[in-house]
Amino acid sequence: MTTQSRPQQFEGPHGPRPRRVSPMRVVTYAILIAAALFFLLPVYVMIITSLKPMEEIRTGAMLALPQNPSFEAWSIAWSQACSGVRCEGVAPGFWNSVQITIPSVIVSVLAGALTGYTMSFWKFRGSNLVFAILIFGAFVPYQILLYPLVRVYASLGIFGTVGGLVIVHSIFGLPLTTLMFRNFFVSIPTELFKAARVDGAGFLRIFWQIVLPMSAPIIVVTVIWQATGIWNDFLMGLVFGGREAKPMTALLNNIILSEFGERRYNVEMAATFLTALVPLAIYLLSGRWFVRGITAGSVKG
Amino acid sequence: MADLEIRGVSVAYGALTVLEELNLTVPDEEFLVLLGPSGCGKSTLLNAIAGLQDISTGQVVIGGKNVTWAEPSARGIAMVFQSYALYPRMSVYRNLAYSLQVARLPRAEIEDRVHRAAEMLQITELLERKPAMLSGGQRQRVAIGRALVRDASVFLFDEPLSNLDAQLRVELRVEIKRLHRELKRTMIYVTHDQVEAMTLADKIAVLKGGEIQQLGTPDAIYDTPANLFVAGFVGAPAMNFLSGTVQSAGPDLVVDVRGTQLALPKYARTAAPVAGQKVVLGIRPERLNLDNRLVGADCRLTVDVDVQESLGSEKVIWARYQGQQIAIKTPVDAPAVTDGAPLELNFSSANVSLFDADTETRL
Ligand SMILES: Nc1ncnc2c1ncn2[C@@H]1O[C@H](COP(=O)(O)OP(=O)(O)OP(=O)(O)O)[C@@H](O)[C@H]1O
Ligand SMILES: [Mg+2]
Repeated sequence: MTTQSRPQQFEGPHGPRPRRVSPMRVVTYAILIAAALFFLLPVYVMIITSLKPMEEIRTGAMLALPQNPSFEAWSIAWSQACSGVRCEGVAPGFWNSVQITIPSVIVSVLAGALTGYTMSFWKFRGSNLVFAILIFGAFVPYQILLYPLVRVYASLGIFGTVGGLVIVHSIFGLPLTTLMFRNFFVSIPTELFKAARVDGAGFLRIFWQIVLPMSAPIIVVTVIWQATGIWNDFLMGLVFGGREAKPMTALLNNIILSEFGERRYNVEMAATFLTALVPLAIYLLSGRWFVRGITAGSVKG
Repeated sequence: MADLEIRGVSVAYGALTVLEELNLTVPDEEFLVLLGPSGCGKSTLLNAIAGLQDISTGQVVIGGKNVTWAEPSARGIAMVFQSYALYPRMSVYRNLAYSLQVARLPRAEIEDRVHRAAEMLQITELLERKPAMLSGGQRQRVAIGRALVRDASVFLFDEPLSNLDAQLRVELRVEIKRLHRELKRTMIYVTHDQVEAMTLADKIAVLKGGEIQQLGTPDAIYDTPANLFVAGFVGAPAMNFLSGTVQSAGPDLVVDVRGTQLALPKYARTAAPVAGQKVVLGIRPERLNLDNRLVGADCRLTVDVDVQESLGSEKVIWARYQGQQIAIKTPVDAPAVTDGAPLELNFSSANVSLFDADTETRL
């Protein structure tokens, strides 16, 4: 046995393997860049068009940058564009959407967490059947339920109210949020739950103090999912929104449809962009969390 | 502070009956180990005692009080789980304090109890950390600490050490033993590690298929196993089994093991063997000797050496006798043997076990 006292000279390959750009990698990047362009180009056109005055748009140079960028079209879109006889822009729709989305998200996520928790940890006779029925609910096409629900809403007097829309979204969101939470809770060892019971914690205490604090990843995912889904909803808003409670998407549609004469592309683009701003912001601010939450597997204890 | 009585308890998961009419009594301050193969219902029994598992028949009585319908937290038990089951979002301190906070104890008392438990387990420096920042051994200490603060009268351990490496296991095993001595509480400890069972237990209950095969002191389980299953399950290498026939069942018991007549004058019978009965003769590997000097060795058997394994402190010789494998455990400095050569073994008839070949129970 000898010990090495000076650096050894090696024959052949040694040390870290040299990195090479493989053809696979080039192809991967090419595809990713192409996909990014495909989605970003319309966004680019939307933004620059919304910043141009109409004279400039008429020249037809779609991709050219604006010569005199101005936010005039944005301001018209926000507060002056007409939908039918009312010329208040998309602003009222924005506030409706906020009032619809926030409570709907809170209710559907909390209720989903609670039902998912019950079905994972407090199994009762027939709980699997209840779960199956609930999940089946996620696959029922909304269209089937629209007319009966409209009748029910009309007779209850909540048709065309923000509250009515909150109820619709909460109920329709529940199957999916329940499924997401239940699948997450499967990864929590039941021993943790048993330990809490031995420690004397009951149904709600375990939910609030043990289970919910561990559920940050899935809460983030479901909140993002529900928030963007409800904000982007058009069908429910159109059907149940009536005249007063229309969400931003339905209002945008009205504004674009009720333009007559020359189309003001800059205003339409601005209004569309304003409508898309909230989900866009949610993704940009929390995309990382979203991916992390979706891929979060087991919970380390 | 409390004895435990399980009276006719049955547990079923749907159509699968795991425990059937099980009876077990654990006296106050006893350390009982439930030993058995995977899936035999050890955890199920522990959960039934803790009230975490509904039972379909029977009663659970702790300290003279029928707790069959009581909530887990109201049974005066504490439990330590295999997966630690620490609350990941809470600091070690809160993990320990949680049950006391739920019970709304005064803050000063909570602090006092948590610190006392932490000191006992040498985890005081860890109190501010989150479980994710602890090693496996530290986590299990915290899990034990969480049971300690509850000041329960019966402690339930469900394979608490099986996730740890060998060295930590020994360390914590000794610690649990020390805790039992200091706390003087009834403890029920589930494991399938025989060393843990032998070293910790006052009594061992060997389980198989939801039935208690034998309940006795570690020595009784080891030296006089009640049936073939217990004999084969406890001990490593396992007990050697030789099938044979009773030749003479009179005052001088003689068993023929495929050609060798073994007289067993010192065998303590528990049942009466009859001549012609098919039996299995069991003998522990370390009870087989190579040299003739041993006093009291009244049986002889010649085997063929197969291979040898040295374990450092001792040597295991694997041999064959009439197609049956025989393990012999000897000190490393025992006389050398040659692979493939015949080898004469001797042993005392006081150290054998005889089982009926059909019923598999001890004779
Ligand atoms: N929730 C359950 N639903 C259905 N069957 C179960 C359930 N839990 C346990 N079992 C079954 O009950 C039997 C006993 O399980 P138990 O967990 O008590 O075994 P164990 O002795 O603790 O085993 P191990 O040493 O592997 O922990 C096994 O056959 C198991 O498959
Ligand atoms: Mg188990």
